[in-house]
Amino acid sequence: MTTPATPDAYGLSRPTMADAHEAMHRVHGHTGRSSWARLLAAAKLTGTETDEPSLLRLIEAMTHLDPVSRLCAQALRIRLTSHTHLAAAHLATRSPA
Amino acid sequence: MNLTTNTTLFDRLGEPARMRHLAAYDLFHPELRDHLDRIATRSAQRLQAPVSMASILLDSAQLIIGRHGLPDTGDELQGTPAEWAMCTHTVLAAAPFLLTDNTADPRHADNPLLAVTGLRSYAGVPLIDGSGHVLGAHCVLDATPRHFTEENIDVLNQGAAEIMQILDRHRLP
Repeated sequence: MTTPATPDAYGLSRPTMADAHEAMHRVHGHTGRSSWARLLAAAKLTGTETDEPSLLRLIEAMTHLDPVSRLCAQALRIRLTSHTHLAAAHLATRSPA
Repeated sequence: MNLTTNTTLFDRLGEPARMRHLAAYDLFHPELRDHLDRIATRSAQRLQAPVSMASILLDSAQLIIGRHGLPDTGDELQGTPAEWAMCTHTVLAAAPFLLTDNTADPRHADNPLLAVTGLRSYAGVPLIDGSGHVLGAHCVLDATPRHFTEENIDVLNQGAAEIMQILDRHRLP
């Protein structure tokens, strides 16, 4: 299942599974690959999903994986929420009166 | 300071050793937030600023752990993208960072966060742990252009020292 691409809000892209993959490798360094594999197993995902429900499931599993992954999950959650708020604000300012 | 690309910025903030230091603190403890809200309120009052924060820079986002003058959005909105956070500049510089008027500074004139909130000036000092890692920042923001003084920075440094003492009491076992 693929979720349609969400427009950028003020230049902010909505986080994707690829962003989560990149973030896990970034914060775990040389154990990034094994941490990602553990995360996918915990979330029961393959890593090839592109829909938002899968991303949210991944972030939830990330929260419980280990303390560093929890912070990584929090960062992704903040970016998701920021995008939602800003996209709404962006739409409101562009809507005809 | 140029934050270059997001990837470069996130790699700097998300450096594994730094993230392990951050993960050693119980940043989500409700009592921690109460303490840090009080420090933010005091700094805002002493500097007569409408907004003050204590925040941690995660790999790609600023996590606000103490606040004054920002809407309390509960669990919904706890921070901002790192590339927009003024505190990112403070953390990367590992030193006080000042902005007098974002509209007069081409590096910050297009900052969406300042545009949306109407905030224009900033003063922040780093939160540095005992091993020298810069965890985050303590700051004030104002809605008018403002020249921050050495005395203002001293007030923020006092707040930052207290924030670090409180964070040290919230280390995970």
